[in-house]
Amino acid sequence: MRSTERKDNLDSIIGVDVGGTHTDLVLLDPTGGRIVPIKVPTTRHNLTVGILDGLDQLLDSVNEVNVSRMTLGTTAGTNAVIERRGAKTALITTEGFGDLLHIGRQQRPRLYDFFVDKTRPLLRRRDVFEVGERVLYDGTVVQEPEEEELSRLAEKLRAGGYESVAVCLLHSYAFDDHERRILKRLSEALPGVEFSLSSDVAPEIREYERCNTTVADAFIKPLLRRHFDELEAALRARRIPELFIMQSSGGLMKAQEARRSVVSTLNSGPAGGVAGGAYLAEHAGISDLITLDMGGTSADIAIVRDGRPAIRNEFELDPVPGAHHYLATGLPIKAPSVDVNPIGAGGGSIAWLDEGEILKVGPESAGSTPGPACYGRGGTRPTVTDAHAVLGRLGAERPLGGYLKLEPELAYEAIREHLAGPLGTSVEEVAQGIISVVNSNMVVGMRLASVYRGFDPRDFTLAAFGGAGALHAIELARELGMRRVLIPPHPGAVSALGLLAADVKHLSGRTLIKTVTPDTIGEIDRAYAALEKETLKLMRGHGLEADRVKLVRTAEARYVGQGYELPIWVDSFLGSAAAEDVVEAFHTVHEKQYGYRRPSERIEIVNLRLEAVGPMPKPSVPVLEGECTQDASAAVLGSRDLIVAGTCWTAEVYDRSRLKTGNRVQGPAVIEDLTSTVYLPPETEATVDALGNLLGWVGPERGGME
Amino acid sequence: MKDAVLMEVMGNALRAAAEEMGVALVRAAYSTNIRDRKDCSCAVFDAKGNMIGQAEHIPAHLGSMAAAVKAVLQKHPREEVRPGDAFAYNDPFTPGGSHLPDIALVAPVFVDGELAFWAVNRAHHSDVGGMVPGSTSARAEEIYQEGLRIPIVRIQREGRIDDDLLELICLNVRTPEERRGDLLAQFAANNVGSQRLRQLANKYGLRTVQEYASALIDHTEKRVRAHLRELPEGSYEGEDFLEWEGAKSGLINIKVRAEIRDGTFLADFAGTHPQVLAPFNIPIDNVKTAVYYVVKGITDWQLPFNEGVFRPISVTAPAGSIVNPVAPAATGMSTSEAPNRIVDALLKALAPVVPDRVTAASCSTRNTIIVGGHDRRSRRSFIYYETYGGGQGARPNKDGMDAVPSHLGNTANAPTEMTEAHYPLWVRRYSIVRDSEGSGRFRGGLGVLREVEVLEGAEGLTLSTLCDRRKLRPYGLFGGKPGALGHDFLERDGKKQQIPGKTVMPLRAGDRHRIESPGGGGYGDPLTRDPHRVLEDVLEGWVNPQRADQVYGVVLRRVGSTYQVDEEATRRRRSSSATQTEEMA
Repeated sequence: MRSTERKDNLDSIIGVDVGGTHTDLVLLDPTGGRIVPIKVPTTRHNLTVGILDGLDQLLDSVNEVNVSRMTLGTTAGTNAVIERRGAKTALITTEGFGDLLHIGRQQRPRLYDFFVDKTRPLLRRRDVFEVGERVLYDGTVVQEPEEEELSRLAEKLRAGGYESVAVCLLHSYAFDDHERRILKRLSEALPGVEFSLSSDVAPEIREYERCNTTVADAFIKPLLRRHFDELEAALRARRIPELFIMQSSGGLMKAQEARRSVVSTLNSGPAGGVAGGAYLAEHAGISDLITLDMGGTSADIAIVRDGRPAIRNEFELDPVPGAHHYLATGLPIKAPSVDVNPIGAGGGSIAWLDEGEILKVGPESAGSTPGPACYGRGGTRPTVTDAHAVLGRLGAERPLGGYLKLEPELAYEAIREHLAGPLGTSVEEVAQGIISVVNSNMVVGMRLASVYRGFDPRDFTLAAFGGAGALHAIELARELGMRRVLIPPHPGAVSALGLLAADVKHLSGRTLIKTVTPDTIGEIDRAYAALEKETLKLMRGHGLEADRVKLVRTAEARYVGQGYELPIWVDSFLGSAAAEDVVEAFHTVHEKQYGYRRPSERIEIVNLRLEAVGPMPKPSVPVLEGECTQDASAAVLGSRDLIVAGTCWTAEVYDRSRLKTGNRVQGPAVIEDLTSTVYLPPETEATVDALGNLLGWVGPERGGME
Repeated sequence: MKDAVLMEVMGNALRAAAEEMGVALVRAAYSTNIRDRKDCSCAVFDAKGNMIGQAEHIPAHLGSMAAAVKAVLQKHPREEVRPGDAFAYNDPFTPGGSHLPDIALVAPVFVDGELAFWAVNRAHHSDVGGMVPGSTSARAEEIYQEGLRIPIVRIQREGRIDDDLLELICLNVRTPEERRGDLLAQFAANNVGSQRLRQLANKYGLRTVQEYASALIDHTEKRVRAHLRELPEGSYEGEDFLEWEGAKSGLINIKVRAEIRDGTFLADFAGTHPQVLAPFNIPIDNVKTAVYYVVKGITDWQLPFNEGVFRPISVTAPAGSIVNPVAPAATGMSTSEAPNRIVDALLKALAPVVPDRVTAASCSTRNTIIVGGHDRRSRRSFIYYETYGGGQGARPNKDGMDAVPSHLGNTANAPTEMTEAHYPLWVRRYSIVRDSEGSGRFRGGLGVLREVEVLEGAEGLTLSTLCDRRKLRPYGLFGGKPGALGHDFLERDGKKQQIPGKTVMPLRAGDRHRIESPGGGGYGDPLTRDPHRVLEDVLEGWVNPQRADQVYGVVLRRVGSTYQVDEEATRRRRSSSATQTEEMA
């Protein structure tokens, strides 16, 4: 292999993706032009142990290399929140509003379930302390915090043994003076205690969401700081100078910076996958894609447009399962995040019969223990993976991931006993049915997620990865009317690869509610300039001078009196922009989105947002060497019986690692590698591009969407 | 027998068609009420008007959706319906009617020239004319005061929207541009549904889709009947009350007899109060909404909504009663207060039969507060509209949820900071109402308190409130005590006075309005509550330590800054309380 482009930087870099059960590490060595993946078990009691174990194995397996940085994507924060394993945290809030977390948005998570409960708040009520103070919406101070009360409060916090303190006062997104005074007073009195101010963490209007975000930050801060510190020390000992952390937005931040606002690292696992998919697709010349990351228990989908993953400014942690997507029921986190939509379908999803008449798949999952029946670990209920085993898409010849040998007869038995027997049909027919049903669930989820965001899936390429994504991708694309499927090399390691490819990114925002007029435009511009100044300082800390940083100003605005906001690009704010330009920009966006404009209405800015991107030295994607030939026969491992729609086909089984650029594989076929399997149905074909991607071409639609 | 796989795939596709209609409607709508509050519903029907798939939005439209197509077919037989037609109506006295702001749009779907399906949606329009902005007034006595009445009209004929009709509607409302936009969004939604249904027919063949849609209905019906057969047969009565000054006793009773027999469920409202000169009357199809909600809740919350749910359930009510009013009754509140009271009456009837599946009475009022006036700061007129949750009734195995909307409502609250940004108001306090729970082995949920002060610069203000459970507490079950009443206060010039729950009165700057919503009823004897749960409530501050002793018989010992349960003293205290209770009985 060789590299597509030579960069000045020839040091290796390492990406580490810490998942719930496995930690994936990837080393990219530009001189050798190779990607080395490794997988180790996640050590949940102390994540550092597992990461270092994997790191040492990885470094041992390659010859002397200089590693310039390691990038970490982790679910450590998310898990600590979901399992309520954070620090002993207190919240300080405005008098009269101490029950804020408990009331939340007040909705019931399920409409018809008398027995459902709201998601439990992160803190107990007795860890919330009210302070006499109040600022009104327009900045009028009606009550100052009193020194004496703060002293008493400091005493209480000390006595309570709190490790971290969140402070969230009303209207502090615009007027942070009281929060800062409380911080100053208390941090003097309570050395060693970590503080999170809502005016730092999420300076945006809507107190419950801001407060919960601040509390989550304080809750995981001590834990993550320790984790980052340990890792940095261990890296120094291995002469790796820098640790970067993946944020939920898909951008990198130095660990030193990430320590300040740890809430931005929540959800960074899925973000790595999307970033990796986008990066690989971009190199393949594809800029609009829907990514499908399907593993054992769930599938995540995300939309990438013009090479940029769609971002949302708020997401929910720990939502109530089965809650309708319109309801606010989880713990809201106001932090920019790659817009990832979970669909409750994975290889471990269990198939069952509803009243003997309807075949259902999921939401219950066999997970990794006991796992699907064919894993031979004691699972007896039939799963999606078992259906693949029966149909021949997953084979028993080569162990999955190099260590797990499937036992298709156990899959056969599970389906016979629970489904085929009661239905009086053949096991093969039911196995096909399980796939049809799970695909149908996923098609609905993918379609709704796209149309809800205003996109038509037919305009996109489907990028499939994760352990199970490539088994379903071609059939899903066909159902959705998508013409092309991209399956990157090492589909099981795309998340870790995304960590190597990401740029330094900082998204910031603040609420500034202002009607846009020639009189206010200057103030709006100054507010952006202040955000930019802060951001550029932060970027300099990453060795990125202003001329290398790309800044994009956006805003959320609305017609005065409207209850909802619309995101607009406001490059027109730059320099001495005229208010009319901004107003016109909003009218145009509004018309495009909703089909009408209200020329007589005034425009009101609500939130300012700033995106700063600092390009990092990129790993060049290794390209495959060798002749361009269509003939893939050199990669054939053997053949296997595949059952498709009741017919048995003898299909070729290919070794993915032996496929060369230009090779063409006709379905029906199965293409295997260590971490995943690609299934090509009849009437489809896939070609290998110069980067080792498989590009699946979906044949004529079968009654897909109009 | 039908193919088990195709059953699921088809069920998915039909539900997805309805969900996608919902996406189209919400995205294309102009008004906040539809776009943000999602006050709308979408469904697909078979040719005869049986619902075959519904999107889950808000429960309040269920019963009226179910009847929509059949209402149209009653007026326009199939032969008269042409491809590209669509029908609109909002009249409460047409089958499927509820209140005037809800406009239904019903469109036939033709496949190869054959009327094969229907796509239907219903949306709450934020104004349809009438005596007040927003159309719904607590003072309305007859429907003519509540806005424009639209009978079933053919608003689209063979693909062409009838502009004259649109103009007629828009001329009668306060926000014509918004109405037009919302109506066009309703057309767009039906187009999406129609497209998806035709694709399904292309893919599988029309007959196959129709057969499977019927099979899915039969399957659901079978499930509902099987669930109902598990319940003891018999006839069970319950009653609950709405509060209204205009009634002789100050109360409007809702009396219901639930009859469960051979897998069917009948709700008979004989004995319920006659219709009133107030907007509490509920058209019978909307009464069905409450009944369906209860049956789903006590059997299986995951039951799909289609005709199969409706078939085993019937509702009867005397004509001219508030649960089956005749024109020209006012029905403005027919989707809010009364259906929740029907739910609580039904749960009370069913409690002795299915004690493990019901809840005690919930807050069950929306606690609607409207402040209208002019804001000198922004030079705009404004209408501040907010509804508050309260305590959920306690459950057989756990406490009721605190601070949630009850039963058929489920809207989110408005953030305090947003409220203060939009209106000349200062929210002084937003909290849980301590000690408002109906005590019990499992306690009812706690109510919510909000105190709002009017700022200088606001003028010409009117406060309208529509709150219930101000006289009769939400009942408890099996020894559980009732939840606390709701309370409303007005503080002016330093003097605080209690005001009625339903009122219309002028406000001025400096006034403070305070609402405390009701708590949920308790379940089981409070003396049997786990003392550690009582301790937890005390430590969280929800329950006062004195009440722990007096109500729950739990003796707490102060240890430093915290409390512990004195197990021995609690045992003694509880056994003597139990003896006292027996003596009294």
